[in-house]
Order: sequence, then structure tokens, then C-alpha cells
Amino acid sequence: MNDEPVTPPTSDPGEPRRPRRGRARAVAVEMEIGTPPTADPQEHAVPADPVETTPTAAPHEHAAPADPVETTPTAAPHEHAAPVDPVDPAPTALVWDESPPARRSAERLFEVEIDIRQQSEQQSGSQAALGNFAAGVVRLIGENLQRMTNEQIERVNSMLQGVDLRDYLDPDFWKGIGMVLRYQIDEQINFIQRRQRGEYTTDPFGMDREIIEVARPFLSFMYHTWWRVQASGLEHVPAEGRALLVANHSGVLPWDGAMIATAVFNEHPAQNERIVRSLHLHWFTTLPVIAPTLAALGQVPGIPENAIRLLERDELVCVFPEGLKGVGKLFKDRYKLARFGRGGFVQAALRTQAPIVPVAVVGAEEIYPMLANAEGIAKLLGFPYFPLTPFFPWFGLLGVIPLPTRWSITFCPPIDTTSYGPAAADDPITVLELSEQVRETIQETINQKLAERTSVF
Amino acid sequence: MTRVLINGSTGMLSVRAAQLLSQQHEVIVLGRRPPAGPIGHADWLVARLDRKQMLELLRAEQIETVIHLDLLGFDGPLPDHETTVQHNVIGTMELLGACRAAGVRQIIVRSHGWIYGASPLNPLLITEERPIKTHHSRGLLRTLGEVEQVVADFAARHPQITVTVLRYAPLLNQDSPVMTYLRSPSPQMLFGFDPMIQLLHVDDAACAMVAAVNQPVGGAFNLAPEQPMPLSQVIRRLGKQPAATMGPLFDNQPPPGWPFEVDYLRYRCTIDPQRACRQLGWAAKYDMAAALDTLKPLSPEEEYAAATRALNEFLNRRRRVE
Repeated sequence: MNDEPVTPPTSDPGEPRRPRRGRARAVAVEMEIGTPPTADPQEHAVPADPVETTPTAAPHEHAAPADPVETTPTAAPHEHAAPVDPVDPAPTALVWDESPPARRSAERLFEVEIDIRQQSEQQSGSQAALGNFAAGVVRLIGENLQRMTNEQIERVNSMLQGVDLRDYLDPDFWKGIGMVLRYQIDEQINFIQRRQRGEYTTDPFGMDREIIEVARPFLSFMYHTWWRVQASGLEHVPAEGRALLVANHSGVLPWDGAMIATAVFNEHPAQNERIVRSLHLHWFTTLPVIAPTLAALGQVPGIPENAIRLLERDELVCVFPEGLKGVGKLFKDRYKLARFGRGGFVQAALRTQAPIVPVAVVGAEEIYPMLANAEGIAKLLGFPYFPLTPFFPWFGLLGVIPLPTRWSITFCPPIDTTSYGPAAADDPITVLELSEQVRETIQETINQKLAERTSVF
Repeated sequence: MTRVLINGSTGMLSVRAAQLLSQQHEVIVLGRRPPAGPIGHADWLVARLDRKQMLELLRAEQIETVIHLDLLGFDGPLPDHETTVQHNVIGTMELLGACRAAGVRQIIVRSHGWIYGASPLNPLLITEERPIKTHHSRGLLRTLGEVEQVVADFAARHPQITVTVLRYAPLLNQDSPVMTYLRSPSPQMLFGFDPMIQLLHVDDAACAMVAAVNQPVGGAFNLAPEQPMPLSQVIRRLGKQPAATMGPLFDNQPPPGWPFEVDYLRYRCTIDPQRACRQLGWAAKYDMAAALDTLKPLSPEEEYAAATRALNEFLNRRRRVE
């Protein structure tokens, strides 16, 4: 990011550029060693609240002793002693850790996140759920912080002054968090405005990595906290080279594509942050605002030529052969796969000799329980369907908030297409058979996952 | 050495093509106005010739290749529809007839990359196999669809003549319709849409013409930089801010200053130059960013560097002439 201060190469050479998940895990380990696991919430709340202490801690923090240990909760009490301790600043001044303030502040928030999670583990019922949620929101703020400038971080810190970040049952916690979230959204809009000079690059489809970076924390939040997605079988997705992911489609709005992309980006064993290019219904290309947004996020109109072109560029392509019949499915038909188009996706895979990875998404069917399809209104507005859910359109935009169901995404073993040869793309029997095989694999996996599932939420 | 006639003298494409072609070929530029810039060793004729006179010229000069650039709307504002049809469609038919009678071997016709029409169903890059949209409702493309049909019919009937159609992405040319739009203080875009577009530098367009003369291959060729750019980014790179207008969403009337159908502000119509790369050995030298940078005002240092370069080039050329 352009606004991230430059880190001298001397600090943490072995550390990856983006700390995110790995970093948080490292802190978690330190926590387990450093603090007694049975530590009661009281003890946590009082000394280890770095943000609350910022007003006093800020001046000396900039002056000297920002040693890397300082930010871990075990060292927090020590931090108060630092200004009066003449020995401490001297050696640390030499190994002055120039880790950008963004990272430091973010790490603090990640620690808070882990604290809250531990705290909520000892709770039960709705309090635990709320804790989990609070931890996710704190993480979201932390991830946003990593892409902010120093002044912006100062602003955030001042907003969080006096808010006890570990007491998520306090309404003030939510007030502070809300302020920060709004501020961060404003800042992201500013960031977009900074791009007004047009100094950015897109790929031929219009994908813009900077915009993806902006959307990522939000998608991660939806992934980890809102829908608590459990992804399995990610090893079946090739770490490089072309592949065609074929998934069941559901849930009125195409959230499932975004979550599949997030799963591959965040959790793939190769950790090479591959971007999944989903093909969307070309009807979305006709919608203002949505069309350019989808393009910027790397989604591509679902036209066979586009699929082939993407696969030839060795991209990871995700298709939903059910198309409209899938997203516009009624609640009573949930998890019954619709017809898989005319097998166009198989043709694309055969032509480009790309392996097909069936993907089963469970949980997305219930995010907008579509009770009926108001075909009259749909026709009037030129929409392919107009959903009536218990919340939409009755509650207006609030009805667009998806229900926080629990999701699982299963990537099945890939189906090899090289044994058929590219010419098989013109053989309708092979194409339809393969299409049927993929459909059955997904349906079976869905059934199995549904049987394992104990609750929708 | 081929004897080439360039029909049409307005616009930078004619000038640049004459300049480049006259280095290896015998070139005559025919037009109603003197050429807009230096045309190298080419000769020129300022006249408006009718059928018979055109035939006389082609025969007398033993022209082998005719480049047809004399189409209204490419290099200036479009007159009323009747005049345009008369000039573009009838004019092209007359020229084709004269070429046939004079035994011309190759005809190169200029066309537009947006001839395929903007549509949500367009693939990322359109290849030449895709059928063109013949019925456009606005602007230059309205008659161009018909011109292309006339040319395609003619090519089918006269296999002995190589007919090449060059479908150029909009040119970054002084007077081209898209440039007029981009030159307005705040070009209007359609609210909520940001199509990818390709813009071609005039030098690249002229190079394609030279390649088409040197390797006479028939058929249509798409000519565009391979990497498109969002329209909003194009406008921003020119140091302006696009304005969003909602009106066309309701009445489907294009915003003022936009010389094409509204759909071109909504959907992409980006073309694939692969055939030209393979068969003509052509590739755009300017990518979109570089092509747009040539339109930016220069800083004093850049101006000095450009002047040095131009002077050296000029002196080298003079020395070679001596």
C-alpha cells in the first residue's frame, strides 16, 4: 500500500510482508506461554489495555522504548515502568524496531481479539456468541488499520480512548467500535479518491487488485465471523495452473462466489493468495454500480469465450452452472441442485484441458430464505427474479443483510479432463456425462454435509 | 514498390500513412483539402473527382493499391444523415466500381472497431469472426455498417481483388469523435457504469496500414492495443474528472458530447488484434497509458528532451538526403 510507512529491511527479515493470520497465531502461542490460561477476565481488563493507556503511553512510545515485546500483554505492566527505568530504553534504542505503527496498532487489536475469544470461550450461550462476534469486529478493524497512515491511526486510537476493548458487554464498546468502523470506511473512500489521477492498473477484464485489497477485510469478516465458514479439501485446488471450480449456486445474491474466493485466498495450503475469478450472470453487467464493482473484484461475465480465455491464462475460474435457477431458488427447494445448464462449463474445461474441481457450498441457501418470487414485479423491473423473504422487501435495505448461518465449503477431488482430449468438447455425450458426474458429486457432498450439520446457525 | 493511392486527405491517419508508405512506395494522396501535415515523398492532388475522373486517374497512374479513408465522421463532425449516406455509402460504391474497372489489385478500407456493437454479451476481446452489427442508430457507425456490407459483398463477388478491412479502435486523433468527447472539460459518463475501452495511437494505425500494403491479405483485421482500460481511468489520466449523468438510464439518450450510442458508455466493445499480429506482423507500439501520455502537456524538461530528439532526427534525415 502506498500509505504504509517504509520498513527498513533490517527489521524482521524473515517476516512475511503481510502479517495477518500467521502473526495472530504467533501471538496466541506467546499468550499461552506467557499468561496463565486460567487468567480471569479482571486481570486482563486492568493492566493489558494498550489502547486505553495510549494517552500516557503515546509520548514515550515514540521517543524510545518500542521494543518488540512491549506489545505483548505479558509485557504490558512493564510498559508503565519503562519511563522510570533508565536501563530499558538504552539497549532498545539500538534495536529500535521500526515496524510501522500500522502493524503495531493492528497487533494490539489482534491481541485484544484473542483475549476476547478466550474470554468468550469461558462463557456460554448468547454471551459467547456475542464475544465471538466482538472478536471478529476487532479483527476487522485491525486488518483495516494495517493499510492506514500514521495520522489515520492516531485518529483511530483517539476514538478508542476510554473504551475498554475487552468488555464487549459494555454499550460503550460498541459505540467506539461503530465510530471507528465508520471512520475507516470514510478513509477507504478517500483512498479511492486518491486514485483519481488514474494511476492504477487493471487486467483486461477490469480486475483491480487495489480494490480487492480494500474489500478483503470485509470479506474476511463475513467469512470468519458472520458465516464462520469451514472449508475443507482445499488441497484439491491446484496451487498453480488452470482449474475450473464448479459449485452449486444459492442465496439470491452471489455471496457464495465471494466466500469460495475468500476460502482459496486465505486458507489454501500453498498460501499464495490466488484470486478466484468467478463467472457471473451477464445480466449483472447491465446493472449500474454493480457491473463495474464486480469487474473490479475480478468477476467476469459468464460467456463461454471468457471462461476459455481465463483458463488459457492459467487462472482459477469458478462457475455456477445452475445460474439463475440456482440463485433464484425458492426456500422449499433448497439443496436440490437445478439443471446444470447445457454443459458449457465442461466444454470450456475440455477445450483448455483444465481439471474440474466440484465444490459443495452448504449454508448459503438459508442466508435469504426466499419464500416466493414476485414474478410480476420482476418483469416490471426487468429483473430475472424478485425475492420475497421474511425481511425483504419489507425492511428495505435492512432486509439485504444476510442471515448469519454457519457455512461449510467442500472442495472435492479434481476430475481430470486430459484423458478425454480437447476434441471431446464437441462430443455432446461426453460433455453431458461429465456434467452429470460433477452434479452428482456436488449433490452427494451436499447431502453428506447436511446430514453432519447439527444447526443452521 | 507498389503504386498506392490514398483516397482522403483529412485527418492525421492519412498524413502519417502517406509519410510512412512513401518511404518504400509510390504514393499519391487524393482529397478535397491539402494534407494536414507533411506527407514525405508522396505527391498530392486536391480535387473532388467523379466516377469517370477517378477511373482516369487510376488508369493513368497504374494504381495497384487503393486505401480508402474518405469517410465522413472519422476526422471531424458528422453532417446530416443524407449527406453522410451519399458520401460514405455511395462514395464507397463508386470507388469500388472504379477500382474494379481499372484493375486495382488491392483495396484497403478503413473501418471502426466498434462496428460489432456494445453489448453485455460481448466477450472480453471480440475476434473478426463475430458478425458485425449492421444497424447502428447513431453517429459514424450508422453508415459504416452499410459501408462494410457493401465492401463485403464486393469482396465476395471479386475474388481477384484483395479487399482488406481495417477495424481500428477509436484513434487518439486530433479530430476523431472520441477525442472531441475526451477534450470536453468534464466528459460525461453514465452513472454506475465504467466500460473498458481501447484507444489507438495514430502512428500504430498508420503502421498497420503499411503492413497491410506490404502483405496483401484479404479480410477484416481488428487493430487495437491488447490491454484495454476503464473509461474513467482514461479520463483521469488526461487530468480530468468524469461527470456522472443519470439521464440516459431512463431515456436512453446519449449525454451531450458523446457521438455514439449510449450502450458504448455502458458495455464493452473491445477487440482482439491477434489476427493482425499473426498475419500482418503488427503490434501496437503504444499501450494505452503511453498513448494517453502523448496527449499530456509537457513539462519544460520534457519539452527540452523532446526538442533535442526531434532536432537529432531531423538532422540525421537531412544528412541521409544529402
